[in-house]
Amino acid sequence: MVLFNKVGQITLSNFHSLGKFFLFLANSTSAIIRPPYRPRLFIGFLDTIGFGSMLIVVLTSAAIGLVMGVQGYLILQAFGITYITGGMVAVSMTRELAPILAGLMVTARAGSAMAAEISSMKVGEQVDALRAMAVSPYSYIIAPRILATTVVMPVLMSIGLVVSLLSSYLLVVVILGVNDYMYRQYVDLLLSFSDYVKGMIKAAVFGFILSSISCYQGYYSRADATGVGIATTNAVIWSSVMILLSDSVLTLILF
Amino acid sequence: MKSNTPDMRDVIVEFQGVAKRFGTQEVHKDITLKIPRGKITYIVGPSGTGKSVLLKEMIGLIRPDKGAILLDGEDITKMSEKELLLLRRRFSLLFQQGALFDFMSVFDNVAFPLREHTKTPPAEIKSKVVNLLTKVGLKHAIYKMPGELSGGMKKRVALARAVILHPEILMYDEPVAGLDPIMSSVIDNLIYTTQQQFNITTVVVSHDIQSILTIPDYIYMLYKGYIVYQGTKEDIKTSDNPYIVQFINAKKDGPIEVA
Repeated sequence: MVLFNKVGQITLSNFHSLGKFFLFLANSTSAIIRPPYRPRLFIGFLDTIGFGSMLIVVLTSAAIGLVMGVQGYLILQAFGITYITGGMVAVSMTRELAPILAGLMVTARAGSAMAAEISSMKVGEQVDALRAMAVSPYSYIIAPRILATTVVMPVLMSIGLVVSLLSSYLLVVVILGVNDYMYRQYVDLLLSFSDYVKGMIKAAVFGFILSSISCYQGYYSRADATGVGIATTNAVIWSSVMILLSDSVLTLILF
Repeated sequence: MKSNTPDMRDVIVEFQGVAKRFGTQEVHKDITLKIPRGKITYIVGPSGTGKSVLLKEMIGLIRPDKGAILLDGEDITKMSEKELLLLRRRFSLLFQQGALFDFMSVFDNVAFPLREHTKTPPAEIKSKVVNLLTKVGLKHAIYKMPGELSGGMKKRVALARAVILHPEILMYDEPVAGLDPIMSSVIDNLIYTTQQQFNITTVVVSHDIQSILTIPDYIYMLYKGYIVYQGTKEDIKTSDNPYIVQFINAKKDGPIEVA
């Protein structure tokens, strides 16, 4: 009986949280669509989220490009078709790895910051102060962050993609000596523009997911120092999990 | 400061049997009170009796579990958040800790309500902000960030932000707590003159005996979820209500328990 009670309580609590999250999403989306629009805040967040995450995206993309290049080369060497390495790396990076990597890096860099900032604002009663001054926190705090992350993610993903392709090219063609012309031919042959568009769509969706989750965790955090820590941790964990889960769904839908 | 006995038939806000509980803690059990229009009303009482909660209930930041809160006869407890946002334009609240936006300078904090709700030209905003910050003795801190200010300075910036729009109802949560006596007197004077100048309905939560005995037109005392005393500042001096007598004289013994 105790076990049934516990399971029941956990189930109810989870449904309650899910309902709260969807209500939060509805309010946030409405704040994005409806005026007042806040271009200055939006541009500010484009800067902090975009430029702030760029270095970490570039570094990790370069490393992944190298790893993909060397692993691809080693596998394809057994079949004598190392010139396909470029095409293979380009397709897997464009369709899957570049959007995921950008998503995870932006989560670590900007998602955690969003949760911590909003949670700290709650501790300092700044969210209540906004409401008291007849300003919707959804319009002032949440909407510009979600919109900026959604817009900036495809850009970061594109930068990461270019860097990873360059690093893989450097390794496979310049260092390992695969034929340059063949390498490029197979990139052209295997990679289509629609792959790139779909990768961009994925990145934008990941941006929306990670910023919504991070803002939600901050907005509904406990208004004390422990709450800030919990919100930040939860933001990173849930954003990462949801990016990977939604990637599976998006891959099934898009490809 | 002159006596200004309120006309309790001209009421702007009315609490009717309001109850509020946070978990197991029953903050308000049955609060019934009236805030007279265009007067200064003080809410007093020991710490932890829900005075700040009462202010937040008044502008719908916290919803009561029971009872009604009428603003000009309209029950705000039934309003949606969207309706409340519109309604809050009539109010301004000075938070206990100031609640300044820590990502904005002092200037931007004070200018915020003007920029959000009016089309005031930048030059006029600057002159209004500088003027107010001069009044609260913080002209020198205009471009500082909230993190660089002391608690008392933050409170004074928050005060400037609260009064800049001259709202219809101005609420202060412990405006002089943590300030030195001279600055307390300056702030008390600012509260009084702002009210007199613009005829703003003013509600102040305070512990400060000096302020309680000089400024308010009407006083409510809150204890253990109920209003245990109400009257004018003149009434207090002759009252034999054991709660207000103990509170005003800062006595250890009496009906108010020292937790």
